[in-house]
Amino acid sequence: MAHLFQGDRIRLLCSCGLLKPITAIYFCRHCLKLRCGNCVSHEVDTLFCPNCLENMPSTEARLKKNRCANCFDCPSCGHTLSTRATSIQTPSPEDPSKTVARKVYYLACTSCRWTTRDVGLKDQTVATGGWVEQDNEHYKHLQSLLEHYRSVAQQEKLEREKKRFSHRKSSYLSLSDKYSLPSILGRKSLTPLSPFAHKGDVSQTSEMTPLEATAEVEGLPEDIFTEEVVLSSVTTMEQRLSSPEWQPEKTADLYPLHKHILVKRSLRCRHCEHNLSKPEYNPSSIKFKIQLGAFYHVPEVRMVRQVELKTGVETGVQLSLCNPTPHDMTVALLPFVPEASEVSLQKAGEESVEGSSLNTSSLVRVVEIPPERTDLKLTADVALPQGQLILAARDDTAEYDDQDSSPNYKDDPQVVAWRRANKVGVNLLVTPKPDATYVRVGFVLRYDYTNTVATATESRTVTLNIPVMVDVGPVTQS
Amino acid sequence: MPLFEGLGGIGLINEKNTTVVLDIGTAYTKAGFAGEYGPRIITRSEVKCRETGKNIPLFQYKNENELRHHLVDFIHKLYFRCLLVNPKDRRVVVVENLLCPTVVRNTLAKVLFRHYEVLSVLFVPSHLVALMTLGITTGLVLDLGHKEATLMPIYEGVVVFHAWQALPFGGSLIEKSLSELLLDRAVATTEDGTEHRLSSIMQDIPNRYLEDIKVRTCFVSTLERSSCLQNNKYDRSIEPPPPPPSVHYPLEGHHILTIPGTVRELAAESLFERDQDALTLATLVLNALLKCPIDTRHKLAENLVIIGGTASMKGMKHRILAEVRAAAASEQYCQILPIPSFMLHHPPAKDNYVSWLGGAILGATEAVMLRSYHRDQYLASDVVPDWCNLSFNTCEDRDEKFA
Repeated sequence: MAHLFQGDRIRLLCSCGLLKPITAIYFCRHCLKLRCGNCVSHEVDTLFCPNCLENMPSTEARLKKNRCANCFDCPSCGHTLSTRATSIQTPSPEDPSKTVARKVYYLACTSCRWTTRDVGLKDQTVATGGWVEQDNEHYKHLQSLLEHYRSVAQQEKLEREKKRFSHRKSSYLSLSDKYSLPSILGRKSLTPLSPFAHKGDVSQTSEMTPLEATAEVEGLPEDIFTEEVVLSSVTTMEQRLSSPEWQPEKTADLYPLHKHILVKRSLRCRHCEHNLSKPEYNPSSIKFKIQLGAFYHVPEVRMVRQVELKTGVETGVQLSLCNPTPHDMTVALLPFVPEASEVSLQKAGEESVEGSSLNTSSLVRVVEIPPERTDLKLTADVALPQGQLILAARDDTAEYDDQDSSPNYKDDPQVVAWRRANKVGVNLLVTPKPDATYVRVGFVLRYDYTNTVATATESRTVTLNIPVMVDVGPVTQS
Repeated sequence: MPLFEGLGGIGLINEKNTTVVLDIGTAYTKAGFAGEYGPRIITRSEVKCRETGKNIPLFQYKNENELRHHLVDFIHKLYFRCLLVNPKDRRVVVVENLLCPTVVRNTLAKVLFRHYEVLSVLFVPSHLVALMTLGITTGLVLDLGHKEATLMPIYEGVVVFHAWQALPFGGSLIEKSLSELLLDRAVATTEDGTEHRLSSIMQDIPNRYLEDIKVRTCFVSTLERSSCLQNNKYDRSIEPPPPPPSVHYPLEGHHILTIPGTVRELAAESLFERDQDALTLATLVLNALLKCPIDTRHKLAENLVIIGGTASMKGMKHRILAEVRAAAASEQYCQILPIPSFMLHHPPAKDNYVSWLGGAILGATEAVMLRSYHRDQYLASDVVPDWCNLSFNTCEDRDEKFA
């Protein structure tokens, strides 16, 4: 699949050890490290209904069980239901002999043609809402159970608290409690959650009637051996599970489902607690308040063209480097050693823990995620261009200039193949290793990053190393 | 502002951080909030593979790392697509089978504590909490899952652990025998109207079709019919009962599959056929009773509870009860296990989320705060206490608890 940023071909090694395309990586400006979806903490930002694009406060969402009050989904196919209006003849309230036309509304699915009339739901006289909610048939029983177990747990807690203050070592604890403590309270809280609790103690907890077992169970319906099965009247597993509490078995029992709401997520760096991505509040906006994608901070590497590779033959592969920042950048390509990078990654991890105290309060304790292990086996030797080169700053107007107005850089033609605005082409010489079928090369991209954080007190430019893996292509057998 | 909020504010804060209850099953996962009467979502336990991008079962993994990736992706989906709450600093109740593999349990704890930084995790045994939905403390709980059937007797709130029973008899076994029967007997009509044997069209039937056919057309036959069919197998002179009507099932858009009535009836029979150790679901129940102390047996037999998704198949509970009664009256058991009556409970929930509901009831009580395993404890040691880990489950440990 062709991809604008060649995400399947060129991947960066994130600080957590996973290889990700540049589009899936964030750059924390405070830790100066790459972060990806795996090593940031995700947070629920705003809740909204995807159909009416209405924001919903989290308290309201909790009450409505994360569902929109006005929008419905088809219980049959999952498509959004639309409201249909129709008029019916009803006896006039003043004169029963006459009839008047009244507008009524029902819900219909434009995809599978399911309507609320199919399942015998009465039409509504108002356009939105008015649909009766289904109730859990076991509501009363479950409520009494909940109260009962709450009081049992409460008593257990009291019991524990009391134990903490009484003599710990005494093995006759229960006896001494029973006879030495005259208070009624002491007697009361003796009810433990213990399996061998006295039956009498149950009376102190709230009322609850346990369900009775029966000797007979509902068997198969009589007609199952003779009656034809109409497949369209039996619900599928998806239809059943879309309303977990009722799980209708017949399509005649389907009920319109309130639309499930969605969230906008914001991402936060685990180490410095700064936001890496924060969407705008408005559900219909797709923009971000904060978006620290690596794409805006890390030089972008692309392969210029596909080349034919042969085992043992040195082939030139051209890469383009692009500077997305508004500052000039010094770039160098260094050889990549997988083992060494692992060590350096670990070291970097340790440093960042120490360093994080500089950025944030020392109260923040970082919970480290387990280290990731990625297969970083390289299948070709690569000769990298020696020396440094300068990437010009990004200039949005450069595209419209007719002539190349960029200042002359004294480029070594051995290193720089071409230069255009903020882009530079470099040549690598790739020699596929024997018995390799697919060539993957790696290098470390060293570049000077100009720190844009206002509070940065140290030197404004920092040298960063980012390991890059390039899948050059398959090896053709000669 | 906090000054004026007073007690109401405190109540709100508690309410805000409602405990999340997870019941991750082999086939389906139940997730929701404590104190609610039904799960918010029952979803397939499937994740997108990070390499291939295909949907694969959650518990299909080569190593622990892969399992961890699966769980990270899956729990991310649960929190941000279904539950829509921040996992961080929120308590979790995990309903788990006591026979759940240690690696799954440890990896789940690692994912919840390290990746999602939850405040605490409480692992509760699924069989035990299933009884909480009924308000009883004694019962013989049979969980018919996708992969296997597991059984735990529970007496006065204590799991009689040495009497546990398990057999690989679950939904997947029904699907497997359904697939064999279909390939053997079913006929498919192609677009041009010609009829072919199904086995000549496809080698194996995709799992989603098997599940759909199982759920929508199959049922568990009665004991009388089943024995009649069994006898017919050995003695052709005995007339089999008339088969139920066949079903026309659209397959992959261009075939019409004719599912014979016998297949509909026989698919679930594999659960009741004796395996090589002469074990069936019925002997599972009786063997568990035999292992229990003699004084508890009558009470346990009168408190059977059958839970799990496979139990909601039509006629399943009726058949199990009939099988158990028949087996108890057989020569093998009638002398050693004289039990007059077997009785079955009806949980106040659909069979597939009974344990979840138990976890949700428990999760709404203060027991969660007292009994959960806290994040700080986990981060200090990186291990989860477990019954099968001797560094936690020792005599001194127990004495301390009872002291």
